[in-house]
Amino acid sequence: MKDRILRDALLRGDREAVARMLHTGEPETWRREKDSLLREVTDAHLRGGAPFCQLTAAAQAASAFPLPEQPSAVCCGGVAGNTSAISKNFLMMLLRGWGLPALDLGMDVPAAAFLEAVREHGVRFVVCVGFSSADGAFVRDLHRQAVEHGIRDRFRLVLCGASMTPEEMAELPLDFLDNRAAAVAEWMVDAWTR
Amino acid sequence: MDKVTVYGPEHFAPRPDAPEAFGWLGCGEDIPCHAVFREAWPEAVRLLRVDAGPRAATAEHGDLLTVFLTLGPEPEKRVDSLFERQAYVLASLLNTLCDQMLFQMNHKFSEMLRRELNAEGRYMADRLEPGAGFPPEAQRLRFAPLREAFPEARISGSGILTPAKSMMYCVRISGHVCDQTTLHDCSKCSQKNCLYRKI
Repeated sequence: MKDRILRDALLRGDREAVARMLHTGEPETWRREKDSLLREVTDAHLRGGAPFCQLTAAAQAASAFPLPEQPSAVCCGGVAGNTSAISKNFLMMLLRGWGLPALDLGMDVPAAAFLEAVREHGVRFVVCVGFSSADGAFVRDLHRQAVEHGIRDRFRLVLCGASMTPEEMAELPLDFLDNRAAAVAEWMVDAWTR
Repeated sequence: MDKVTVYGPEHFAPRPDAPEAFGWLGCGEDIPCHAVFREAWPEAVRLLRVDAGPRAATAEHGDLLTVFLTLGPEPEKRVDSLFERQAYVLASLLNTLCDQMLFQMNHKFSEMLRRELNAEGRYMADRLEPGAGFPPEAQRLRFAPLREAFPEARISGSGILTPAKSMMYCVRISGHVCDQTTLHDCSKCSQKNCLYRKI
């Protein structure tokens, strides 16, 4: 019964209702229920069966859950030249909904700043938010610099938001690439929990 | 020497349209989240009116007319700050309203230009846009005469405009009546998964 109430509150985007439930105990059970609901909505969205607004509302309500007290495993930023923050904001929103602590590097971020996050904060996932086919060159450069500094094996590299052909994608040194924030967030959660 | 003409906010009053905004979001009354978006609507419209500073300008050089339209930097700052505060529904709605307003500006401005040019016996021909045969170097070159009118505006190496809620394109002017499209043509754009793609 309570599970059903939680699911309804998440689907309605009702953060206050979710926060009230969290005060009454069983947070771990509800966290599992919340993640299960997010998975359902994300899968439905990626199949074209749920609009992005539903995912947005669920993420807003899910943000009532506190983040786990651990350092950020992910850093996320717009590639150099990308000054439009909307894709990065949607991705950060989804990661927050899933309860994945992520470091927001902002926009127009040089490759060196992503690598700095790996060295200084120990992040294990680097997510570059791109916009154009020129992002391939950025990713190759980041990969090359990481190899030169001997830290490439410390992190997995993801590109979100770029628009390019399958042939271009296949040639990039990436662990994951998708131009849908929901697909990237879901991959991140799976990789994080494995 | 380019002839620069600036158009102020008096030309572009916001006309927020709920069905269109909700349509872009994919949000309908049969979806559980509709109520929370509907509840956020008045505040999103209020913020749009407070933050949007719509302005446009043209620079004419020979038979080429450069057009720059913007809502200014404030809407994006507000959307970013709402995302930071985890007000995701309001942020998403305001972002969509800003896009809608920019597209309405584009439509209205194209019609206004068409009338002005036609009155002079000139006609709008093909439209060059980023992502469709209008490289970033050419964008920067064509934007140069407009820099004084929009000191806050930038074009990145990959052609992305700052403020984000801006639009730039060139129109070729012809002395002959021309029936080619003068609004955005989605089929020419490389952003295949764009939310607003209409093909």
